[in-house]
Amino acid sequence: MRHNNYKDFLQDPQFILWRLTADETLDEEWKKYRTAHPMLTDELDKVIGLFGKVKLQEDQLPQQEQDELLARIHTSVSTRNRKKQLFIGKWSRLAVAASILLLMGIGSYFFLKNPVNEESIVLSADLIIGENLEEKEIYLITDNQTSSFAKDVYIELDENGAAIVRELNSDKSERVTTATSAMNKLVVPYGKQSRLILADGTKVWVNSGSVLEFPAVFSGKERTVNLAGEMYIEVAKDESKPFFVNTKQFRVQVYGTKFNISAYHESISNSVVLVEGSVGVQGIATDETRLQPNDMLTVAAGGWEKSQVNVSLYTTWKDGYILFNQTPIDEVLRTDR
Amino acid sequence: MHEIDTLYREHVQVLFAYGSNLGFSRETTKDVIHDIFYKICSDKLVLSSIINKRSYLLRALKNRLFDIYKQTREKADLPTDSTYHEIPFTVNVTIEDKLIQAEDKELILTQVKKLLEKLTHRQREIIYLRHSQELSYEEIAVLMNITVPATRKLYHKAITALRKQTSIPLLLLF
Repeated sequence: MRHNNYKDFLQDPQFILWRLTADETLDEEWKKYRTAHPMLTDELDKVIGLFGKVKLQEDQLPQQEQDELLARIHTSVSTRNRKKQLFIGKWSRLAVAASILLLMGIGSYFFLKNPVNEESIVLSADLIIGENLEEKEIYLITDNQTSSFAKDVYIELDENGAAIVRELNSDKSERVTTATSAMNKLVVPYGKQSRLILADGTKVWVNSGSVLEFPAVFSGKERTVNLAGEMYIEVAKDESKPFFVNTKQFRVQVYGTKFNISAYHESISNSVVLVEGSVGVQGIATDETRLQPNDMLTVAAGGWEKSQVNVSLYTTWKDGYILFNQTPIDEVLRTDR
Repeated sequence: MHEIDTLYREHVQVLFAYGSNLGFSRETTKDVIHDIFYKICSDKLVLSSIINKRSYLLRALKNRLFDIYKQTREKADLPTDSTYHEIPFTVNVTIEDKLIQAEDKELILTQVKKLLEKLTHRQREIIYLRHSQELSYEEIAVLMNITVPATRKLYHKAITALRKQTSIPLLLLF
């Protein structure tokens, strides 16, 4: 192939190859070529110059998006740095990315002393919080599918149990078919949170490192969910169907209320803090303990203890507030409760 | 925190391009970039001891993207190799000069695209990293999760393969 002008080089794949790869062997060969064809020097230089403008890249990130992304980074960092300040970010505004990991190993099941009208609810033994939470995604596990989400999510069930999952800070939403005959599982790893509205309208805020098992619809005589980890719940009123939360060490019977349960497996003591209404907490071998608003029940190996507390300290996490003095949020989230 | 601004501006386009070339959506790539810089802000010491920051950032990006890629595959029940070369790599060719005649542009683009199409994903990626990012073999080795000798070999293999396919051996030109 004879080359006469620069265009010929452009059509020569060997030339393209050389400029693209900058390979030493090819450099040598083309050097020889240049020496052998002195009259083509100008053309060669010209085409090399032309080729220098070739870029191997995808579309660039437009300036505005670039600025926005930087601003987003700034926001995240200053948010984290505001240790004593209240963090802005109400749950209701968060369209959390749906990645709800099924609650793994939802808390304990709870045998009542008089199991007359109770079925024992056994949580899968292999579900252990923390062990499967290697990825940072939230997973929602239903009968036939596992969906994962990279951001915090907001899940809403309608009265038929169909779920719509929304991602935080985006308008991404996904319909997920929930399991009809089994529990669905939402697994929320460290660093993530999620919010759900159950089929009966009950609102649940699930904190980091937690697993919640919930049915698509509450079809039996009772409404039951299983928890390992921490959640804040506002139970929708339904006098005909009492609401229960099972955790590993105790079960909470709800008499129409708002309360926070902290029942992380790896935690030595678990707690129930009542904001409004009334609940009864029953352990494996104890009588039911009733709680009034502002009561906190601590369940530990040494025994159960009831105290009065400032409930906001225990429930503000759901609004994105963490009131820990001097502790960076990400440390807090990783703390063994 | 405004200390990262310079770092960000210097590398964001490259990071974004690399993520896109690896087939990830704009949003995913941006999210990962966000996560990387967010982490850097929390531990500035890490970066201060690193000489080649671009290489470090590219690696952080790829690690995270690979995790996402793996999960997507697992969700879809597709097998995943644990090595990086699994991720398909494509590249767009652009010419950023308005002074070049359209005709010439066309010519170049067509040729380059033709050439690139003949490569495997890995080969394409390595050529991109050498040509556009001018990374050393050592840096590329880390990014592609192979040894340095393997990197050199891969690179030369790519070239040889292309030379074979572009028919006329160079020697005949002389």
